[in-house]
Amino acid sequence: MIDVEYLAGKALELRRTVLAMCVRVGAGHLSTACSEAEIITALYQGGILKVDAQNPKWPDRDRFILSKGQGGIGLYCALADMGFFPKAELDNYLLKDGGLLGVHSEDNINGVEVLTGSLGHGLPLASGIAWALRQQDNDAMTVCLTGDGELCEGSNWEAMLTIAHQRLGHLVVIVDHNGGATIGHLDERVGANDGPVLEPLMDKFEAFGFETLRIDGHNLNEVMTVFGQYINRQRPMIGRSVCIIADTVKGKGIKSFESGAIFPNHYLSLKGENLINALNDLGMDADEFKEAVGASCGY
Amino acid sequence: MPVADTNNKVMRSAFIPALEKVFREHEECIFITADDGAPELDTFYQTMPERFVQVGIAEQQMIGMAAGMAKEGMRPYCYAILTFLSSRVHEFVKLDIAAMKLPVTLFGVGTGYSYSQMGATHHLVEDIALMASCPGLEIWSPSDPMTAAAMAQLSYETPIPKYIRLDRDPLPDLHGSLDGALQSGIRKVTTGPCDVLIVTTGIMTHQAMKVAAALAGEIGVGVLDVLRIAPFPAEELQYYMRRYSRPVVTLEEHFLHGGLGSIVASVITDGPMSRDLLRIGVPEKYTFESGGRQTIWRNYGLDVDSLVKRIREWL
Repeated sequence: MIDVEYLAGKALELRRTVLAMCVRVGAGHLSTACSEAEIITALYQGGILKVDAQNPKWPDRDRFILSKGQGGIGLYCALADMGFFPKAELDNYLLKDGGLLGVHSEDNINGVEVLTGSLGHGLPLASGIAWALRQQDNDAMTVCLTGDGELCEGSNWEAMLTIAHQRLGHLVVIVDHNGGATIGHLDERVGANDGPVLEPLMDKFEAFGFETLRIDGHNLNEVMTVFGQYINRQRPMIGRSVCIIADTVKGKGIKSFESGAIFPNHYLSLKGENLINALNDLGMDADEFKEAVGASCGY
Repeated sequence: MPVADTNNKVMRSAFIPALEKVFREHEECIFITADDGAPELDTFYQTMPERFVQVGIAEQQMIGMAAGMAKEGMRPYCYAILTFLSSRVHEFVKLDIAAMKLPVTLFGVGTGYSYSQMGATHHLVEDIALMASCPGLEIWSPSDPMTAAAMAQLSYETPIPKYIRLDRDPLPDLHGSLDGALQSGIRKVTTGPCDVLIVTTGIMTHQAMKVAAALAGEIGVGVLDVLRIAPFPAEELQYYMRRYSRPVVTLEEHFLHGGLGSIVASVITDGPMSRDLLRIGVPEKYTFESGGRQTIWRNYGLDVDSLVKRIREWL
């Protein structure tokens, strides 16, 4: 039984927490975290990934590789909520003294498997992890979340060739397909800042040997159902790898990002009036927020 | 020593059988090739197919996959033509292997102008600069087949990222025995008087020995063979500099910028001893002239006659 209401609450909490973390330091990948919120929430609080916060290196854990290392800020919220490290660490995000959590996820953080942030590394790493697990008769899943913009890195396609050749049945790629690159939109040809076109993306993954599905990455019911079916140890260890393309919206939950009124540059924090609007969108009280976060709110 | 009769072999023919022995003893060792082969590899993938992975001509994938395997307790060995294992994939080596301190060994053939006829795409005269820029990555540079074989054995013993640079030419064994040479990282390969020290590595150690023979009776040349370039054995070098108190020449088939000569210059500049230093390397340009390695050496003053003349004049 999928408790969509509970998970929606967790996804909202993730967005609220990320907003506070970003505004406090005037930095961080806010819009990126918003697009991955339901994916991350389903994987962790939804119980899709078999992990143990009290024993982060549990050998039988599922391995989650955040290839889009910029999404670290969203992952941190889920990891803290699960108890991998104290929630108080989130308040230290990017702060000069004593902070554990940086912009990009690093493997010294409990619950983070590998260092990412330079794009196109996650899938090659995931292929090695999945291969090694199978070699050791460990049926744990290896789940790699990539951005869509990072699929422009050729190393992903190098990895896919080997993943298909090695028939790594317990490897699942999730694409956070929000359509946004740093300066333009993927899959559009409106401006010279747009592109390149990734579509037809499903056909590309299919052609590279993946069993490919497409879901609404913000519909928790759909996300949970498909994840539960495919991120599943009952599937053969030698077989087709799976790709789940999750269609998302960059900055989802913050209306000015969603509408394009503010270009959801992936390293843009908010302040002043834009921030107040975002707080409204997320159902947060502006005075309480300012008290918790401080002067950097700019209102 | 792990393998007998290495004399006059190519380094790879000594290294791979020694590595095969390591693989037979340690089943967590995995071989990954980016479609690079060797006669000695045939038995390898025929007898241990479950530990042999061919990723195709995809070096980024090779490095990333190896790092993933190492994260799960495996000991991967990555094999490709050396330039594609260093300059082509530098950032993957930096982040996936060095920054995460993973016990992956990279080895391949092709130092300097090893692939002389293949031109600038296959020449590798910048790998020391590139790989030494990755903290925690060890750089091993054998000078003969026997030391190459010993490095294959050593590579397993410490779970540290490693880059092992093999030459392509058949070479005689220089080192009678190694007793401790790999641990110290530098070995003096000449005896007799020492009016000048040549610090060198790889195939250039053989050139330095020929220079020493040519100058014998006139100038005593001591040759130091650097077997481990990173971390650089600075104290060992200082020991020899103190002991001989003579001018120092560095000789390498590598750009001066970031190469062995740069490292030795740093040791002298940052250390307690001042020495006159002559750095000999290759010009900072890409090489398109054919004619083979000897021709390139002659053009760049790395042949024995030019080296003898240059060192004599400098002293």
